[in-house]
Amino acid sequence: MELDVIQYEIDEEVEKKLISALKNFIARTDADLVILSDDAGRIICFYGKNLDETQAEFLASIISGIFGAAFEMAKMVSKEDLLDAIQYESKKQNVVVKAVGDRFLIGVLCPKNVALGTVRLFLKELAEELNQIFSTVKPKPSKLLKLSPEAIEDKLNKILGAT
Amino acid sequence: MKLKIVYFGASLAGKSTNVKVLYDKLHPKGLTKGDYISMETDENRTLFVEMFLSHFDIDGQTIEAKVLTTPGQFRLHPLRKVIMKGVDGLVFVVDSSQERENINFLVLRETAAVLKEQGFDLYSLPVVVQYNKRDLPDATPIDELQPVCNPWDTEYIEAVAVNGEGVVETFQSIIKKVLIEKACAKK
Repeated sequence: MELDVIQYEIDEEVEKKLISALKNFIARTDADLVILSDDAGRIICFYGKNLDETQAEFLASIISGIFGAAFEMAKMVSKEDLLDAIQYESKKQNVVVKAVGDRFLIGVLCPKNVALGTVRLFLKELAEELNQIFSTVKPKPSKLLKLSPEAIEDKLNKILGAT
Repeated sequence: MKLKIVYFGASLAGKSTNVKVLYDKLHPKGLTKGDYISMETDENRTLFVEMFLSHFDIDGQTIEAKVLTTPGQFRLHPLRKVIMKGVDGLVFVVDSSQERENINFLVLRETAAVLKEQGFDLYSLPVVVQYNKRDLPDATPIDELQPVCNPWDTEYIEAVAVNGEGVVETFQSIIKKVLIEKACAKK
């Protein structure tokens, strides 16, 4: 069993390829930020302005949440429709979220002066590129906690101090 | 290792209180990352989610647990489905008051259906049951709650979340369960 309970693990080489694809997308669109996450809100990588890892983690949760909510709505109003992308506008920014395959999502934040058509065009290309990268991802060797259940309990007691 | 821990339970059972009090207890110990995020209605009811990130090292591995609540109100069922996606461990917060006994059971049944739709079996996921509001004068005795609210016969914790009682114990218990069931070397 893998250490991480999610079914995939991204190694450094794959991560470099993913970030390079995100960087390229930002350069082409002038978007402020692009986040790649899975549909459970776990961040995979991100690229853009003024965002630390923790903020990105929360944004990934919200992106997966709003996409998931929109997906539920799409199912209710049209059972055969599969949601591919959502977008919304605020006063200063536009946000676009697009599915990449069955499990991943890209969230893009861009200023209002960036044409949404351009964003969506390059987002389509980005999704194809990311799909191609994901198709080459192989499971990493298993890493397990080399601890007995009693030792885990003991360590958690010391860290969290519940008992 | 990234873990997604979801607190579920009936409306007003104390899910948000648990998560907020947990954040308040872990934050001064340096066991959280970033702020407590809350999306609630004007009446202070959870609209979508409340969450924070807890992180600590164990055996040289960094554990990063994203702790989330589901909205408890019945009408927000579609949003509960979204939050449950990809969950690693669940805390079932049970309202101990006698009048809520049936609601607790309905939530359990609904959650099982939601997870089944996502390809998971509620009864095979790591779960901890928390009997909250044990200070209520009409609190249902534990041995009456157990057959209804703990079909896993898993570990349960008695709590008064609003006073902080049982909150960290519950979190510690679910983390332990997830680690043991999913990441611990099998003998």
